[in-house]
Amino acid sequence: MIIVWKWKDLEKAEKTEAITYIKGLPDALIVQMQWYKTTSTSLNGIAQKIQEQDKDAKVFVFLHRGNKYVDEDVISLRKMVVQAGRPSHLFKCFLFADGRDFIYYSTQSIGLLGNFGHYMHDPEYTIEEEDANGVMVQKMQEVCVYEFNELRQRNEILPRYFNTVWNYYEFEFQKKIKELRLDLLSHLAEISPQHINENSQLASSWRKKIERNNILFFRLRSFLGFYSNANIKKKSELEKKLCEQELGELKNHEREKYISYVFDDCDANLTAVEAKEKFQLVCKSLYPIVDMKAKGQESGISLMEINQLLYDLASCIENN
Amino acid sequence: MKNQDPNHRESPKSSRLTIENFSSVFCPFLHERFFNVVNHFLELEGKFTLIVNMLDRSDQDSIEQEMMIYAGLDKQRKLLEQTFGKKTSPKGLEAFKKLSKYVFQAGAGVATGELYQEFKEGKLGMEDIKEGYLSTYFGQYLHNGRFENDGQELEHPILDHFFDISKDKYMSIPLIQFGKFDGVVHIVYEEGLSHKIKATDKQKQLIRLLVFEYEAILLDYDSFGENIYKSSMLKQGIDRLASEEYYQKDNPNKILQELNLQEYYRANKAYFAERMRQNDAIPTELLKQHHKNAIMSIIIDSYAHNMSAHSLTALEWWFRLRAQRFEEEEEDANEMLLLENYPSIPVVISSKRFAGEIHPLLRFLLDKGAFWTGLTRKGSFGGKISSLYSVLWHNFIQNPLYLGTIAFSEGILKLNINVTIYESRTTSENGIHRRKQIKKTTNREYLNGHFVKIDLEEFYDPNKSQKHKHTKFVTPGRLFDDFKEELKQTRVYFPGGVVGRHAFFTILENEIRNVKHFKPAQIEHMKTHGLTLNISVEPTTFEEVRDIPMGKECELFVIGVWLKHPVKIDYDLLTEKLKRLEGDIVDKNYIPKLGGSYQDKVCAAMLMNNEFISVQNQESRRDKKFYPWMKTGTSQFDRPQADEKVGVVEDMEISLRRLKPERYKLLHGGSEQYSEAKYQEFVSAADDLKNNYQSRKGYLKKFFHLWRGENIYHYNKEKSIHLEWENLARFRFMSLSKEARADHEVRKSGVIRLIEQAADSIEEAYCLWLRQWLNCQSGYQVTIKVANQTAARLVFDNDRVTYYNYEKYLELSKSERQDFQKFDGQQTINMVHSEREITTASENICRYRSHGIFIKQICEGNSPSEAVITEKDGKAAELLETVATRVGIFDNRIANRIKRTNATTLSESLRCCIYEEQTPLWEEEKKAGFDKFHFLVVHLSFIEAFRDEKGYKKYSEKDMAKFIDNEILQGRKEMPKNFRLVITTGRGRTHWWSKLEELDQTTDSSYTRFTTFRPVESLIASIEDSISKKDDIELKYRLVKVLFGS
Repeated sequence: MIIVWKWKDLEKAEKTEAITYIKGLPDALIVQMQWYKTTSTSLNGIAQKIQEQDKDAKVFVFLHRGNKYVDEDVISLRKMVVQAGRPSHLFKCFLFADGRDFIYYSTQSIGLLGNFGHYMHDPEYTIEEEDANGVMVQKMQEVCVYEFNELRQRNEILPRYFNTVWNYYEFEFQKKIKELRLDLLSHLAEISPQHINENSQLASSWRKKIERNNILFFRLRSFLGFYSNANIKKKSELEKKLCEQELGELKNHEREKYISYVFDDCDANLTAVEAKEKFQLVCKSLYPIVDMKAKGQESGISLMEINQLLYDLASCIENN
Repeated sequence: MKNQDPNHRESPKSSRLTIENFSSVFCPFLHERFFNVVNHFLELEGKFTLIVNMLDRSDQDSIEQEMMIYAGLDKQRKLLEQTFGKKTSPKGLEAFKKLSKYVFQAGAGVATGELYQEFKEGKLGMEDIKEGYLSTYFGQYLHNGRFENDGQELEHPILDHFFDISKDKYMSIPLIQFGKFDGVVHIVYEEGLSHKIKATDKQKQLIRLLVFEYEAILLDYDSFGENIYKSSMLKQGIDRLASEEYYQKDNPNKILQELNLQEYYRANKAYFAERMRQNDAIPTELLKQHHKNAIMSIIIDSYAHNMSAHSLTALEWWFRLRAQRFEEEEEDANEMLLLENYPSIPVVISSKRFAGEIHPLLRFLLDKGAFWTGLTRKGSFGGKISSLYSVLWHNFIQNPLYLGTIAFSEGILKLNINVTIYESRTTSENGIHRRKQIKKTTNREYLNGHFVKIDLEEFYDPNKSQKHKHTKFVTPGRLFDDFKEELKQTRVYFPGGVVGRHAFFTILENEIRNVKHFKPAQIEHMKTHGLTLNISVEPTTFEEVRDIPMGKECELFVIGVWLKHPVKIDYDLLTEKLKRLEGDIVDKNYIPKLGGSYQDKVCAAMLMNNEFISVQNQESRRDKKFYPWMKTGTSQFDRPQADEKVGVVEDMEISLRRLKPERYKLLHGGSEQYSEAKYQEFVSAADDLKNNYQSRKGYLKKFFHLWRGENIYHYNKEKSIHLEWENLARFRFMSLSKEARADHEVRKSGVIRLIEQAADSIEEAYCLWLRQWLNCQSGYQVTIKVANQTAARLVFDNDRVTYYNYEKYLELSKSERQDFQKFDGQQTINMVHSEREITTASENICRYRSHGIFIKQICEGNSPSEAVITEKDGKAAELLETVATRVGIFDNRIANRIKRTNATTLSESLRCCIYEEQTPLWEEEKKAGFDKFHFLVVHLSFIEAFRDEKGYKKYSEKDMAKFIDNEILQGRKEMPKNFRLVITTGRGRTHWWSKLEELDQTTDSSYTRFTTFRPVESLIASIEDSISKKDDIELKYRLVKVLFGS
């Protein structure tokens, strides 16, 4: 795992990288990198670091948005890594920031990172628990994701934290796509008459319906790349501002729910040809729903078809 | 006894008391009184009459010309008829009638004239008081049938009817009041009464008795009729009358010594002082009311001139055109053709948005409203210490639409603001000519020059500098950053916060409007290059010292303001403003004197004394030195340029006391404060100015003072002598002994942070203060969390306040952490950086911003988990005070603003509960006890809305004590030391406060100890600023600052 972040201990030691070992997992490690995207060649260092890893090892790279990394960097990095000969299925890259993603401890009380540039450690972390009367009460509890190895004289990450994070990110995209599919279905599906769900409807009609749940609408937009940097650049100032606002609301929602909803690193990580094709099909079919300026406003699509498209994509990623 | 007021509008002969209905009411009354005094004192029981010739006090002219009349003739006739048991003869009636209209010069009377003459020459003695025969008095008539004057001719038929002119007698007694000759009482009596009247000891006693009686009556009439509107006309200087010198030099008439009047006045000094004080009290109050009205008129005139007539007129026109232009554009008109029809002013034709420029204008207008409510407010209710940078940059310059249009009538849309920073004031040759050393930057550049440009004809080019967030029309000057640093260090106290700030702005605005005095050619130059307003800042002291010791923290800043465009300045132009300002702000008919100079005077008085109503004060030593609060001055046009190389500016600064040294003598003369050497210095300076000043081309300057905002005032006996000079409100803390707590001056200052021990540093002061304010037995801990993770701890163990950032916190041992957990004061704040997409307030999460006060000022740009907030400068303590101070507010306007944001966060995390003005909510909190708050803020109108069981109004403004007893104290004797009730109102109502003060002075109550006032506008402004910034910590910070007053 390579985590490119604003590591305070590296900053203090004026170092750019360090390695943290995982207790009892000799094959796993975390490379801490204090690396900012300042020039176009800034990614080289990270690519280099990936190449230094065991060639058969699976590598997850986490790029901190606060270090100026964006969705386009995920694509670039992937290209660089693949070109250097690492098989694409042995590499994944994620963006994270602002304490909203799973890698942070505070989102699900299991992640690796604290909120202040260190691995999670708080001697008095606030947790909520039910008391004897069933009332939720706040309690303080020490939380630390690492412990000191006396023998090796170093801090080592406890495996339960490492493993959970690893497993989550291994399946993050499928999970997020599945959740989006289910949320769309539960929002749009009609109980009766059932055949209505098979009826084709224009993009504008779906848009109207989905917009009733604006967070769901913004999630769909994010999934389909509406907010991608490449896309944003083409927009007018006003449109850009609106996009910023929508993303803001979405991220705000993430913080409140402690769940990641933004899809900016999803597309780039779909490396298998089949998955990429499926994703392109999804985009082609659904993008008119989220962008009224897009082509295809006049062609219709049914809820059953939407469901099928998303289901196929999720299954395809899972099988790859 | 009050000092003489040198600006008194009435004649300098202040004994010239006029009396309403003098002839018809006063004279008969006086006559009867004198008759009875004489009758009873001398036990005459016989036939006599009084002829009272006295100064005609019906009007000023008569007094001035010393005209005499026959006083109380009708009463005299009735008494004669009654005593003698017969009617007046027809001739006598005719004579009475004519005498009633008879007026004569004091010196022209027969017997009266003789006494008058003697007195005038200072020769009158008891030996001149002699008994005479009527036959001698009428001798000439008896001899040749001719009277000596008309008066004598008219007296004859009257006296002849009741007396035997051949043998009856008379005695003339001078009528004296406060050492002055006011007439003669002639006692005419039957010959048989002679033995009683001419007894020498009786004569003296009688004269004395008439003096006492007459003075007492005059004192009564001094506050009667129209005199009620005037301050005492009888300010005779009792001190002088009680002195030996008076009888030796001023008034050598022997009779005064023979009557032993010196001893009388000496013994009765206190009595007269009190009588005159009482007589002064009513007119002083009335005059104050006139002053209040005048202040309103003068300041509203300023708005009408600076804002309405110039700026708003221009802006209204521009925005009307702009609206029209966009309407036409929408109708698809050809844009090029369209623009030809409009003036090429960006505000009119640009398609850019101007919300960023309009909102500061609206805010400015809102603050002007708050400023007006402060105009009539009496008393000091705190203020705000701000950096001069913050006030100039954020509150003044960021309003280009206004500033750029003040000179619109002259066609000028460019305004340059220059700043000059001087080193502390140094010795001056004669107090007028001053060599001022300009301060240097660290790069050895002089802090003198262009600060910013406001240009409504040109947009600011953001490519030039991205550093400063500002509006489209403002361009920072080359030395902007240097000025910024220096002005940030210039901490100034603005009394009343927004009120003081706008008093300052009004003076600046007036100077800009002085553009109207320039010649057309200069105006043309200004149109192209801009009008330049120069502001200078020079630290100084209020003490009468020639040299300011090195390293001394000066109490004041002399602020110089001028338009940096040369004009020819002669002596008259240089001094006319000061001469104008010497007088009252109302004329003799109480009509306000309008104009920029008086606006300056009123505002400068407020900035110096914390209240506008002080504008005519000349009582204290400070008043005497600084009145009329403004100075005038100049610097030569070509001189400073040559000297600028060495950073020296030669300024002339003229104060009123140096222009008119006689004022100094008049105000201080006879007191221990008077120094003959100083007087001579002033005389020489004034003479030098008058004789040697030559007309020259230069800058016409005005100077006034701003107080330096400081941390601690050590209130002790030695320092209390400075109280007359000090402005206690400018301190954040007052360190004072227990005995001093009750001191009126201390309470009056409005300072809330009073500590009962000496503190040498701000951090020490804060610790002492927080100990009593937070009142925790073991300590207080604030846990700052971000997403449930502890980011920092703010710990007060009653000895020191320590900020443990994340790393320092991890270094704490378990036992140390456990100790902190045991503190009785615990508070947790969940924070989130609001730029990170938290655009709306979330439940119980405090938002902060990178550019907010919390991060920028307290954390010095770091995040809370990384910040190093040291004890030094009291920063950690200030943060603790901010978050831990418990505030309860009952105010609808504030509640409405908060309701739409984050009421829960404020109440649960930041200890700031805001309620609508609803009785059930009040009752609920009342039950819990208001002492849970440190500050309970209640809107006055809410108090007035309370109803009793029958639905009748429970409390009016004057029932504040009742409200406090019933609602706040609820049976207690007093509230805890760390509780303050803050009454707020948008209007200038402070009657309730006067009532509380009165009660505290006359009873054993102590309402004013825990009650104070804050203008609702200041509270709302503090909230508005932070709401728009989405920074909850800043909201609490600003609110707490307004409540503490610093």
